[in-house]
Amino acid sequence: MVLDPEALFSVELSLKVATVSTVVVLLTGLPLAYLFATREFPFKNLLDAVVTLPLVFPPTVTGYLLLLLLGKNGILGEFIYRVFKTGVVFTWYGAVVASSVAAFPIFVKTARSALESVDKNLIHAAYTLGKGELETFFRVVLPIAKRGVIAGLVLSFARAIGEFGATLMLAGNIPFKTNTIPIEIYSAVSDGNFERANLLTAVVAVLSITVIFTVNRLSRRGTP
Amino acid sequence: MINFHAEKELKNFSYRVSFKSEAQITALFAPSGSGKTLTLQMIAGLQKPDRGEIEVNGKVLFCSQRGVNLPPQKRNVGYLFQDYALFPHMTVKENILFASKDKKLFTEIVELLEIADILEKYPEQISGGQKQRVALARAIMRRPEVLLLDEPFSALHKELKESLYRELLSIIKQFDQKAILVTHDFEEVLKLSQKVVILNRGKTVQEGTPVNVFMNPCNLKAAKLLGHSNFFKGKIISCKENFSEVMLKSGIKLKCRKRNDVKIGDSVFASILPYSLALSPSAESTRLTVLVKKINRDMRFTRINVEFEKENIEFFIPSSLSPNFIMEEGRTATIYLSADFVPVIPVVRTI
Repeated sequence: MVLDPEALFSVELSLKVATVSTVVVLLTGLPLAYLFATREFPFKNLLDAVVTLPLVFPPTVTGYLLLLLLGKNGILGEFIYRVFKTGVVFTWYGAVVASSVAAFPIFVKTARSALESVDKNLIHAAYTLGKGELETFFRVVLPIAKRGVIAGLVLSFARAIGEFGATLMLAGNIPFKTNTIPIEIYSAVSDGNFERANLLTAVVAVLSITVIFTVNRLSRRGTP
Repeated sequence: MINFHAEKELKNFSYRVSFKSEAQITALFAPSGSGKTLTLQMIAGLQKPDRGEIEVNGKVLFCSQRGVNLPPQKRNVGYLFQDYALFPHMTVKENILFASKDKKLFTEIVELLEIADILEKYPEQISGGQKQRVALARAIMRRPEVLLLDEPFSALHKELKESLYRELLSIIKQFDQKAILVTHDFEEVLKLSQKVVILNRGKTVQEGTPVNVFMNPCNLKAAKLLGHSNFFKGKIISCKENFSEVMLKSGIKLKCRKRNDVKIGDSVFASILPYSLALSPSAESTRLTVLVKKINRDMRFTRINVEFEKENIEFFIPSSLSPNFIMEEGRTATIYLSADFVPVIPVVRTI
């Protein structure tokens, strides 16, 4: 029982897509979560609702909307095509976009509540001790909210690994190109190849457990 | 030198507080919810007044007219938070060095506050008193223009407080540090500060030296805030060199503490303080006959509840002196009140 090259590719691709989208989600979601946690601004609730949409929409709907937006004739797709001379639809970038969008609300919500729970007096203390907002964020807020932020990342990674509906819509099911593990499992089952599906399922299980275990250990280190 | 004037509209009341102080330690004394912490936050730049001007040692921190509002980082104000606000993920040493990397000052402060043995511990591993010392060390590390102390002793038990008072005073002296102490305990005001500002519901009620304020409350409300509790209405009938005499409605005359802003004929309240009992008759004491209701003896102090003019008054006397008072519950007794401990409070017509 060994993975054939196509299935092996799907494992590599899924890991790559999930890692990249977790990084994307961290870089874009953390500032937004901090903004939500500390500032009042107009249309805050509206923005919050928009960010939450992918959580409540059926993934295929999210994928379809992304397809409309990023397709060659979409508002954003046309722009991207003009600048980069390539599109995201039916490429692994498409899978990254779909996974990122799906994981984004999960991360923002978890990180926001972790950031909100940091005692305001600690932030004020840092300010009166002469530290600016950025230094206070990295030396006080983030280390204290670390566990929550890491939990958000784990959930995002898991969500990205499991992304199916939106990915299928946006990136398609192209062997050796966009066939992430869930899509590969779907194909295997449709072909009646249950052995392949079982193997990939085992891979997903091992992956998920390893990630959670590692991250839990990491987050425990360094704090009393 | 602190020059503070600020106004802010709040949900329950409008805040309007002004005071000036050159004292080493200025106390802000008020019941909770009167805007004490708000005052400190405004000085530190954590809250913005609607209007006003805040100046510390000649540096303007806030001025609504000139549009000055320095951020907290630029004010160099030390803030000792009520819950200490120590960073939980940093050791004691890291907490202190977060404020400044000055190794020489660090060593000096650590020695002075006797915290050398807990430097590698985390805040959750040390006691309340130790947390207090660490927070103080951290706040002092930047050599702030003014140190803001937000009810620093309220969570600590009595014996610990006494030793922390001494430490705080020695630190303040050593570094010639100006400080503002927020408290609702007048004992603390008397022990630590040279000037007190009384606030109530966002307004300055009275300011002055602690003893002077305590003995000369400007009105009944201030007296009640200060903890006076037995008031007897009457009129000033004479002003002697060492005391003034107040005649109560029943005709009883009380010798009271002299006060310059009242004159013969003024309506006043005589406030009988719990520790106003004199040992023996003298020219400055009043002889009274009271009905003894209850005597509570403990090792150090004896509390005696008596009825006078149909009011209940509680007196404290050292238990060692109580044999001098031949008292029995349910019987009348003769007592002497020391005029200096019976302040008078002007009756101010409320508008």
